[in-house]
Amino acid sequence: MPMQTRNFADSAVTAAKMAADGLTGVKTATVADANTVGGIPVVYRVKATALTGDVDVVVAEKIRVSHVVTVNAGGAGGAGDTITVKNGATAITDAIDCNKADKVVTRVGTINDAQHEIAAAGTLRVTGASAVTADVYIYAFRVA
Amino acid sequence: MTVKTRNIADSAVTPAKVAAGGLTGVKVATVADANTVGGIPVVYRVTSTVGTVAVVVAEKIRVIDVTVVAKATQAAGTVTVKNGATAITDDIICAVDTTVTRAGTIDDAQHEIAAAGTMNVVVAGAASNADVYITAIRVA
Repeated sequence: MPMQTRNFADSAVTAAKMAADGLTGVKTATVADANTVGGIPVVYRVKATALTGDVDVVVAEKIRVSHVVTVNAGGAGGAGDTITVKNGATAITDAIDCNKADKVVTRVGTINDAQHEIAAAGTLRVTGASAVTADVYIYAFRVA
Repeated sequence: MTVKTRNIADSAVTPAKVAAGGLTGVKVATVADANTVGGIPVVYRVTSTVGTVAVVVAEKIRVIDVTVVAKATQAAGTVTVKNGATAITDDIICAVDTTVTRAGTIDDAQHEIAAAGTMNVVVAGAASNADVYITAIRVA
């Protein structure tokens, strides 16, 4: 019969007892305001390849987007190349300018706090303009 | 008798049952493109003076950002993160004490370092001295 929570003493499961390679945001706790113990951030990774339009990610948990980084990949950007991260159809970030040389790292300029929390099963949308090619890393943490 | 995975009910190991202070990147999953469940980033911390600090990474990773905190004012100080001998980042300026600077470029042809590969943190300048934080995700 499988062991239940009550069968484990507190702190009995050391890191060595945990299987490697398995932890994702599913197992992280939510982060409250003024948290006294550091919360664990999570990352969403999206590849924009000549993107004009959307890459939609249906997030499993409720999250708050706290940072976005783009890396120009596969060559220099062109006029009008931007990446915008959205909560469904509404922008969370500014249109991040990717009209830059290959490899350039650009960080988000603005985050709309009216949109930064995406509900569980909501859509995290990465919108590209003008056939932009970039690696996009969205940092977030789980919230209640 | 040793308890096997099959002997443990799903989700039976709650946070209270996990020993504090032990989690590292060894236990986190790899992050795929367009992941629907957030992946967990990992941080490598290097305190560096002039020269190269070589970090043999245990897992295959992708470097996604680098932050440098200068610990002294040093003309022409820079920090470069490399995959072996080849640069991943630009030469990140590290010239003014306490100033935080970040990677300006990341080469996507070099950003993934194999398990047991060497991540070199190279510091240049007359008296370069910096705390370097490399943010990465595990990848398959």
